[in-house]
This record gives sequence, C-alpha cells and structure tokens, in this order.
Amino acid sequence: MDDFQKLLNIFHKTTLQKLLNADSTLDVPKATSFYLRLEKCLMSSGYYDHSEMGPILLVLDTANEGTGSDMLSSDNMAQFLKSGLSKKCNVIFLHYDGMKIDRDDREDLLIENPVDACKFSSDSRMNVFFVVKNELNIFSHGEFLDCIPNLHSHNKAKKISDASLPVSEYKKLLNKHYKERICKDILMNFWQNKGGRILVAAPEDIFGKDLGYFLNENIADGFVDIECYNAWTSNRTDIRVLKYEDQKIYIFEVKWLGKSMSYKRSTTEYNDDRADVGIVQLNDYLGAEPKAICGVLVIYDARKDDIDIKWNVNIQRDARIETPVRFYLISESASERAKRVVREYKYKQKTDDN
Amino acid sequence: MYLQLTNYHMANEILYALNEAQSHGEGTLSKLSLQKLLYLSGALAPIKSIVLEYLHFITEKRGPYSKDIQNTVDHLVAIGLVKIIQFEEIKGGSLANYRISEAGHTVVDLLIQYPQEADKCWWISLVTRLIFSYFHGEGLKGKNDEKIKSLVYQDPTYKNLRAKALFHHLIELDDQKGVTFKLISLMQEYIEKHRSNISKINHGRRAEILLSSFFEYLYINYLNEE
Repeated sequence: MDDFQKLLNIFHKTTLQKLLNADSTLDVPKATSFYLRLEKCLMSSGYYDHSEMGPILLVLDTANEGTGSDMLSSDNMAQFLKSGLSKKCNVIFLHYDGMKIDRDDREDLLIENPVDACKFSSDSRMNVFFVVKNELNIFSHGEFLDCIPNLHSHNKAKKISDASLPVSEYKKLLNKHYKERICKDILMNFWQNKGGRILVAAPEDIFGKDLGYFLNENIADGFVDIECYNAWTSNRTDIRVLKYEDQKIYIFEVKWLGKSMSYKRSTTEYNDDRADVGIVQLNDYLGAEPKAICGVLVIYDARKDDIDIKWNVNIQRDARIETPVRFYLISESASERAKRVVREYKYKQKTDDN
Repeated sequence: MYLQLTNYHMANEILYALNEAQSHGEGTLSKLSLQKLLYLSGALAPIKSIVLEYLHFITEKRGPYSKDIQNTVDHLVAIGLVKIIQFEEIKGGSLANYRISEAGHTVVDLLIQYPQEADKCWWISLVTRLIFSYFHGEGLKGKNDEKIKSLVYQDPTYKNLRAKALFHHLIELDDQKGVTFKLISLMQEYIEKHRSNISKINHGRRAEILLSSFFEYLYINYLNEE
C-alpha cells in the first residue's frame, strides 16, 4: 500500500480524524491528547479488570474546567469502578485533560445502552464515549461516529496498513469475513440457541455492524459510510462503501434467514421471501443512488437445511445487482464437528472394507 | 552581540517553539527536540502554504539536523532571550535544555502583531502542541526526546534517505519533488476534488485536520515498525 493510500485511510477511517471532522469546535491538539489518553486508559488493566462494573459514558465537556481527579489515569478509573459508583451514576463529565467535572445535577444518571448514549449526546450537544466492556461507541452531537467492537483486538496500525484488497474484490472479502469472524466463532453473540439453530432478535444488526467494521478495516481503496453501524438510530440497514478515487459506491444489503427469538421469547421466522425483500430494497437503494455501481445482497442462513434460495422470478433486478452471496451458519461446535467427521470416516472405512 | 539580519527570522521561529513549549511539561525543549520540532514544522508547512526559514537540513543518524538552528539558539542565549536550564557535556557533543526568558516572551508578543509572523507562530505552536499530545500515544517508547525522534523518523522524506543510508545528505524542504511535499500536494488535491463530500470546514480547520492526519500517519507507521 502506498503512502498516499495510507493517508487517505487515516483521513477517513481513524476515530480521531472522524471526531475532529465531526466537531469543528474541538481544539485539535487537546482533543488528540484526550483521545490518545482515553484509548490508553480503556486498554489498561485498571479499566479491564473492573470492566464488568460498566457500562460507562464518558462525556467530553470542553466548556468547563475539571475540578475532580484525572479519570483517564488507569488507577483512578479502577478506583471509580471498584467503588460501585458506576452502578448509581455512570455518566462522567471530563475536560480535555481528563479531569472530572463535578455536576450535582447529574448525580443519579444511568445510561445503559447506545440508543440512550446517542440521545444524551444529542440533548447535551456533546461528544460522548460509551463503553460496554471492550466495546466503544462514539457519538458527536447526536450523530453516530464510530464503533470499536473490541478495544483489545483493535489494531489501528493494522487497520491502516493491511487493508490490502480493493472493494471490487468484495467476494473474497465477504468470504474472509465469514471464515474468520463467523466460522471461527469470533462473532459469537448471534445465536440464541445454537443447537436449535435459533438466532437472537434482530441479528441483522450484529451481522451488519460486524461486516461493516470488517470491510472498513480490509478495503484498501475506500471507506465504509458509518451509517451502517448505526442500526439503532437509523432505518437504513445497508452498508455503503465509497471509493476514494471516483467516489463510486458499492451497496451491501444484509439479510438473514431462519428463526430468531427475543429474550421475551417472541419469535420471527424468515424464509426465501425475505431474500426477495432484500432484492427489492437493493433496487430502491440503487435507484436513488446514481453514484452506485454495484449492489450485493449478503444472506446469513440459519435455516435447518443448507439449501439454495428459491427466488421470485417476477421481481425485476437492477442491472447493478450482482449474484447474491449466501452463507450457511454452522451451528456445530468444533468438537461436535470433529466427532462427526471421525464417525463418517469410520463408516466409510467400514463400508469400503465390506 | 548582534544577530545577522538573515538570522532574525530564524530566531523568531525558535522563539515560537520555545514559547509554546513553556506551557507543557517542564516548559523546556532539548537541543534534539528543538531540531526535530522545527524540521517537522518546516516539512509539513506546505499544508498551510507557510514557508519557514529552516529549509535545509542534513540527514544525521539521529534524524535531520540543521547547524543554523544551533547557531541561532546560541545567539539567542547570548542576548538573553533564551535560557539554558540544563547542560551536560557528553562524548562527541553536549546535551542542553532551553527555556524562553521573560524578554523572549515580550519579543514574541511584539512579533505576532505582524500577520505573517502571527501565521508562523500559530503554525509552529500547533506542531509543538501536537507533538506534546502524541507523548500520550500508546506504544511510543522512551523519554520525550526519543518519542519526537520516533515520529520524525517516520517522515517519508527522511525515511527514504535513511533507508538508503544516505547520511550527511541535504534535505531541502521546499523541494516540490520531495516525498513529503508531494504527499501533501496529493492530499490537498484530493480534498479539493471531493470538497462536496468532505465536511464543510474552513481553510484553517482543514489545515489543522490535515496536519493531524499526518501526525497520525507518523504515529501509525511507527507502531507498524514496532
């Protein structure tokens, strides 16, 4: 990858640049120092060892000076989490230098999910950092900015330098995501009942967010429009990749098939017609986007049987829609898979001997 | 003692760096940090179309070096605008830490009444503040001197020459064929071309963000090498 492309990746993809681009009132060196210290703090043992005491919402308050302790120090963060205070009020206002700003009016505020974090950012017109265990979501004045699914496996150096494939090679990238993130159980939280092949509620949020993040890290000649991670605040469910050079757009629509169940045990079941809905949506997106040159439907298939989709031939497809890509979700564990392979091998050997 | 006229502008730039450094950490800059900081200020100055005085550096094993900077600092010390806070002779040279004096402050306050000087001061202060910000970067090792050096080593122009072991080689920062200069031009062209798709920010802010991208680039390249 050449230096220019690396710089473009930095300009469009790093969290710090997104933050500075989103909020023109931020002092660049002070915000840089704040963000670098925040990253360091959230990766320290002080935070990590007590992260189950979260979530926490860190609010960058540039207007007020801090009067409390430096919350971006690993020790102070550990002390705060250990104290149990985060279960009474998990919103911490910080100045650029990490010093806590004491706010009497916010003493009993608990923000427990990204939707509320986004709303808080919107109401307060501030930049907020919502941390749940190792996941960091960043909002600026009510706009979703970035998500780092795992701070510990996040390697920004790698993100910029190893993004080796152009978006035109999207098939290889989709396969890589499936093999590395889904088959190897890195992305784990999408099964409600693995043995019964039942997905959690709204699994498209999980697949879409993870695929969007993966594409952003692995595409060399473009960046992913952040809206795709924003499934909780936007109705748009597609992933859009913008190429640097000509700003042409690739649109990926993510759908799932099979059964899902919410924690209240209400179920949703999607079959072949759900894939057709995906095609209709792609038609709409492509129709409204003259800069789009390619549309791809990506289907994660949790149905019992690994069978092809029967498409509705009456649905016209925009010429830019490529052949849909279906990934069958494997629900066998590695040990079950190994046992089955040995069993099949033995059976084959027996029948050969006979 | 009198400074030669041509050195006045050079002296200003040193004063701007030391003036900004005073509000950070120990408020001083070492010999090495001052060299590297002014090198980065000059190498990245095309981002804001500013031309600084220190344009000629020599590639040394410990990074780019300008004899003019050291000569001018010595002059500034002699006339009381800069103080030596710490001095130590070592094998083959010396270590020193400098701090701007009250008189130096007054000179800076007067200089920045002139718009061109105010621009230069703003730029050098910005680069200085960003360098201090990156001292917090996870993975940057050693004392502050080492950290600055690590970032400067990643400057594409210096890095290319270092990779070819071209030491005592002249670096001309105003050379439009220089790698860093070309990269800045490419980024500016890109931003100009896609202005409608990039958030609507004014020229000064754009320069700040571009400078910040370059710093992130130096930092990330360093992390990759590690």
